[in-house]
Amino acid sequence: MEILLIEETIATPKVIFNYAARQFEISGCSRPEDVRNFYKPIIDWLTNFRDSVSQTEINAFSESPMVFNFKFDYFNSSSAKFILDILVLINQIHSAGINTRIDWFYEENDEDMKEVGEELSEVVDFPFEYIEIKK
Amino acid sequence: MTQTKNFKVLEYKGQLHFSTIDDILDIYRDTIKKLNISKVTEKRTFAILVECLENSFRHNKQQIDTEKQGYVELRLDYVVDKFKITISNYIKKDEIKNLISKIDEINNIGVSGLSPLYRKLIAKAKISEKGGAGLGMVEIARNSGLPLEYNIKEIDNTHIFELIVYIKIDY
Repeated sequence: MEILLIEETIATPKVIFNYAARQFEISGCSRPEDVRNFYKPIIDWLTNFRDSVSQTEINAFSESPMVFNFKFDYFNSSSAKFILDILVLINQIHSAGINTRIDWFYEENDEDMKEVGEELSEVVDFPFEYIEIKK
Repeated sequence: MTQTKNFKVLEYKGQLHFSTIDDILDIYRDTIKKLNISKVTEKRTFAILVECLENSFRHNKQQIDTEKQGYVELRLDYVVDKFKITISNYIKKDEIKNLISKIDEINNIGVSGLSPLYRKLIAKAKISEKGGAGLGMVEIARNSGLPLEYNIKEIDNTHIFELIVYIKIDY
């Protein structure tokens, strides 16, 4: 799988999907001007991965899961829809046999961000790990 | 330290481009630091500003009169123990009924009903041609926790929509 790297801007998060380094993370603020075009490469990467899952990938994560880190400072309502689409794809990757985990980070005392993670987890029907980032 | 007087925190009147939203949010972030409010209130107010501005930005593009396209008036006031956000923009007459209906539905559901409504909407959300997911007003209401208010004004056959959002301030 090719490395997907999108640098952070004032309105868009940093994205790094690196299969070789086992690094899958989205972090920062998400309120893109063109939300569809911003999230398309991420959706495409996950879709391609889901469609190419074989015993090789399943074995690669059998001992240690494929961990997706979500570290948002903020995301707007348009981004929420695409974040949900990403979570659905991760759930599908899990259903394809990959040992998968979603880590949902939130700043200390930011119960709103934790709560929205819980809501998304419920909609997707996939459990998250919730990790508080202490200041 | 709590404030005792009402005052204007920020104001913008003019054309709204995406870069203008960045500028307004920068002003907000710089100004809000001086008020010693809680991080929770700061983030909720930020979230409401983003949704209000992006709603205006997306829907304002529809105006036929180019002078009205993209024109917005925004004000953030400190009022006793709350922030008050007032945002107004031109709106097409045929969009008014649906918008009012959405706000009335949200107000009628009340705070406890917003999370189930959010979950229901996000599960079936599609990004519209305008770029929104239809969740914006629910997000505004969730972050506010108080009833949304609105006014519709008609001036020379054009219509102006004004949304007023209150946020309780925690220190």
